[in-house]
Amino acid sequence: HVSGMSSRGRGGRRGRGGRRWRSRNRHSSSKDKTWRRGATSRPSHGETRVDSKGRVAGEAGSASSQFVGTMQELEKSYFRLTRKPKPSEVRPLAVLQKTFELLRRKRAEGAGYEYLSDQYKSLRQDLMIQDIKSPFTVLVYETFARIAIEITDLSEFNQCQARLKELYAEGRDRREPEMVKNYHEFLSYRLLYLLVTSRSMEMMEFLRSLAPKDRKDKQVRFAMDVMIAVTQGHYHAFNRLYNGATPLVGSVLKIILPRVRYRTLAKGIKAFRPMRTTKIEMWMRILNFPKQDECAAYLAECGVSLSKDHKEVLLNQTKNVKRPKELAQANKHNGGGVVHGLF
Amino acid sequence: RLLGGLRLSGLNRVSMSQAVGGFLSKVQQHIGRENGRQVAKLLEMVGVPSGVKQAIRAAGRSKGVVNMAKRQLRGPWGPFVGSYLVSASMLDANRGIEAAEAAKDLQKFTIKLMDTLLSAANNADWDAPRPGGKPANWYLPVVNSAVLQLRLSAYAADDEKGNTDEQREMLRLIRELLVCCIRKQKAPPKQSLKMGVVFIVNHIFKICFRINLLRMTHDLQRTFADPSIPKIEEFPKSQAVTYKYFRGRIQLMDEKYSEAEKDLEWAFQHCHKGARKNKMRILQYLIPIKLLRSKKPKPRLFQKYPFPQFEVIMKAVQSGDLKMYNDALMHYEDLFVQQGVFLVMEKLKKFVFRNLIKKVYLTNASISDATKWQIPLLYIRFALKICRVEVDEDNFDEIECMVANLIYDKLIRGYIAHERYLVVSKKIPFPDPNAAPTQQQ
Repeated sequence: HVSGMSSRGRGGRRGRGGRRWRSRNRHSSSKDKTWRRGATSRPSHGETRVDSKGRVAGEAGSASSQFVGTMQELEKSYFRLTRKPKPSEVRPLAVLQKTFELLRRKRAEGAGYEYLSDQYKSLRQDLMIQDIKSPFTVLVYETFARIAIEITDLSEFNQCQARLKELYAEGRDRREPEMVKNYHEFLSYRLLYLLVTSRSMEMMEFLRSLAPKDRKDKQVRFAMDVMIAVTQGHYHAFNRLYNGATPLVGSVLKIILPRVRYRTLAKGIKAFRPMRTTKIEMWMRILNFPKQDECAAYLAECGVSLSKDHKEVLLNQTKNVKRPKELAQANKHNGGGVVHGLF
Repeated sequence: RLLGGLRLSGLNRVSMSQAVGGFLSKVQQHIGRENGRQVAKLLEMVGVPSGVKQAIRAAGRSKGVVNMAKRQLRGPWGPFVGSYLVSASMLDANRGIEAAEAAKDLQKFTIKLMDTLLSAANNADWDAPRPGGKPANWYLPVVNSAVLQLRLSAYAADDEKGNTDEQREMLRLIRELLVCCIRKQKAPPKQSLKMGVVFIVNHIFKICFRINLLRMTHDLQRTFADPSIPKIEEFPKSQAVTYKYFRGRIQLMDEKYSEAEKDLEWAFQHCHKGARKNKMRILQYLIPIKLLRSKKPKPRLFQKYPFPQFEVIMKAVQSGDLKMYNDALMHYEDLFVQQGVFLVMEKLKKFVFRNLIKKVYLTNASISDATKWQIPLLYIRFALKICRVEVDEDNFDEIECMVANLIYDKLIRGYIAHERYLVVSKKIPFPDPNAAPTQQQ
């Protein structure tokens, strides 16, 4: 039985040494201390040598003071560090690799996002504490970033990609191509993230920071084409790109689709209004609705008049157009949701 | 010992320390006369004979100049000048990291200096005119030299190390100086440290643009929301022009085009006639905005200030040549991205398309005047093919999308008969873009 979870309730302190982590361990660490054998309630000796990024500072520059954990349990719930961690609280690399495999399996089995997010956070924390910057670290961050994109948890994604930026730089310095093989993929996600959260200044700043050859990469180019299509209102190009996007890119694009769609509706109404009737097939194409009934429902929700059989869209009878629900939901991503986190 | 035992050509040690001493007494003289510009000039070694310069640089490298300055200059000036000269000398000797270290001391002593002089000013009697006739903020040029030194040492240090840490740190340190300037002071604004705000912000902008950290420029602009700070136009011209230039660029990146146009235009008009490079810099950003608002620069402008990238794009726009436009964009993409005007130049595509359609309209009109307001979409497709642009043969969706955008942006007055015609207004089918407000996406 591999899982390190002790009983799912409170208590569970075993007679032996070594702590077990309770699930959902939201208690403050001071409470944990009192459970440890021989623990005092004083903070550890000397100054707390955990820096602002949660890294345990060794003696200046010496690699020999590398912190190595000894905890063997695979699963560990995340808690914020306020003091120097003990080796028994941190899993060494070999264990972390097994943890990662476990999380992969659990995900395939359908584990929930809250659980995965919690476990990945503590996994990243353990890597950070032990200052492990290797292709494995990159793999962990990339894997979780992709999960976050799929769930469209943009703030988590943003934290991961910030750290990935540093790791890629490290990989480049150390000339380890293993570490940077997905560099362009994540560049494209970053650009789309900035687009979707309407940060035009940072978008230009980001483009400026890219080397010219990075801009020629297929994935980055794709993201740039989307950026241009959205900022120019080229809904045709946007629909084409959206329909041809990889699943993960599609998840991000799904966030701006409502905005593009609503604007397209406004343009379409203006451009086609003098025509008494227009075919619903045309609207399906420009609003990017594969199914006719979805298109009809959207138009109706927006207050557009339709014929009884929903085959014709009657613009000359359409008076007031209002915003659909999907737009309000999409707009909550607009320019917000950024939390600059540690991991 | 003070000169660190370095081998120096020409002068012997005694005369070197004399040279430094003489320099420092000159500095003290100007401090006494409250002549900020002269002090700044001396510190920046303007007009200083090379022998003296050499002596000072040597004393700076060995840091011996610090004690000399402390002895000869009164109060906070001593450590200030000492650390300044050390930093400048290290910079001069290409020892960037040490220059930056000394610069951090310089920053501390600058704050001390400002604190001391400021409290003296606040405690003074403001009903009587100042003795000596100089304003209470006479030392601002010196502060400017100090901030310049901070900035340049940060550049040098980071170039040596290959990252941007020092520059980021300097941003923080220089902002502290900015905070000193905007504190409450007894002196009326024009005589107070508030007149230092613009040049300090300009230095910060320069670092921000250099390290591509543009996000913090927003709160810097809020400094001027403070009503006690004079308006930009009331500051010295060169500072105001620089500020407006940077602010224009920031607004450009924020897609606030009309504000950017105002600032850049002001900067261009008030930029000194002889500062050609600066004028070119301003135009680099002003021209794209003008193009976006359909205001074409006269050919004379390009004769005086050549910009091949804009000239070719303008030609493409005017003739409606989509291929020429796309090629130019691809060719100059690196340049446009670097300048942050990439999106602006992309936005010009709609004007190219509008002019192309207008040409189709005119050609069609010359053939059959009776139905000239019904432009077959097929003709538009032909026109695109003539321009050697790839077009969809199956449907007109892409063309209708572009046309719909033009109608929405009020660049064409008309409507679309799906898959058949673009029907334009009989009165003014192609309104003057200047009159129409550009719709933001």
